[in-house]
Amino acid sequence: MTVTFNAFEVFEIAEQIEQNGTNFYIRAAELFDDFKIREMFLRLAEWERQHEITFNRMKEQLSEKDRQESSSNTDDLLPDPRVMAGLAVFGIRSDPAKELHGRQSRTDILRRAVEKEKDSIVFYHGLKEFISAEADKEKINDIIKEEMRHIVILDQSLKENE
Amino acid sequence: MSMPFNADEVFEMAEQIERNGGKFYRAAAKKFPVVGKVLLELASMEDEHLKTFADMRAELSDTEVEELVFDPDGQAQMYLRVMADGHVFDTKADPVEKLADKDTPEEVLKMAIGLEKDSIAFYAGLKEAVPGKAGKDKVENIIKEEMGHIVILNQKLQDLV
Repeated sequence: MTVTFNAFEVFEIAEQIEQNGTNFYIRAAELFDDFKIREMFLRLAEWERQHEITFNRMKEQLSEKDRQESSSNTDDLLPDPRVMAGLAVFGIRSDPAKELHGRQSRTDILRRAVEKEKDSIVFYHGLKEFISAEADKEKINDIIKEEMRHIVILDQSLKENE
Repeated sequence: MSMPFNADEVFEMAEQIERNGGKFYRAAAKKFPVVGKVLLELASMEDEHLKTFADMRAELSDTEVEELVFDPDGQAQMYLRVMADGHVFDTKADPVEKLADKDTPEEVLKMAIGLEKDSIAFYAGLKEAVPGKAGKDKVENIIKEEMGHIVILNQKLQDLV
């Protein structure tokens, strides 16, 4: 299976993942009357929206060359084909907010949220392959760490609700 | 407050994941011979990862064994704790037991993709915890191989549909 993305496309998918994440958390917040859990989902939605803005800025800052090529300058920086193909599996998903219909239990929704966060971590880990600038890699690392923190928050809520 | 993890304990968790992975793929291959070949290949690859983690653990110096993960704000420890307690990451649970309610090769391939995803999400945290660039590179390489496994499993899944 040959899968090729250029950096521009990968950032577009990352933006979409975050937009889906925001919509998912807003929809999840709408499903609960409990103030504490609503507030948690809305906070998560806001953090995902900030990530979307970060990815959008990074995409806009790509040079014309980066937009066209799968890597920035040398063969050494070509993204690993396994990673490239893996991104295709994890990046292109349907809108997860549509999976929420109000009949799911609180823990089911929290578990779906955890899985979504794991998907993001996997995708962003692969995304780093497309980036040559150390400063930009650090930005992605920060986002990955924030997604890990989301999992910690969701896990805490799961423990309180089980 | 739980005790923070040291490097030795973190590698032990990684070894357990790979041990479970190999066991899972072998049991799944036996149950679903139609996808047996690919699952046995994946089992061998997980064995190699187990060896890599065991070697890395063995190479830890006496001080590194006891050394706590560098983690000034405690975030990595909290993430590792979530992974270790088996609540959202089943690092301790034996996935072979979950095979019992899988009736088709499609179901088992989907389950395997989920397990590989869990491994990558775990190793992303592990990478933060491993001391030194050489160690981080080895973990990174394993992450790439796990991504490769997902691609293989996804391809097989599409072939079956």
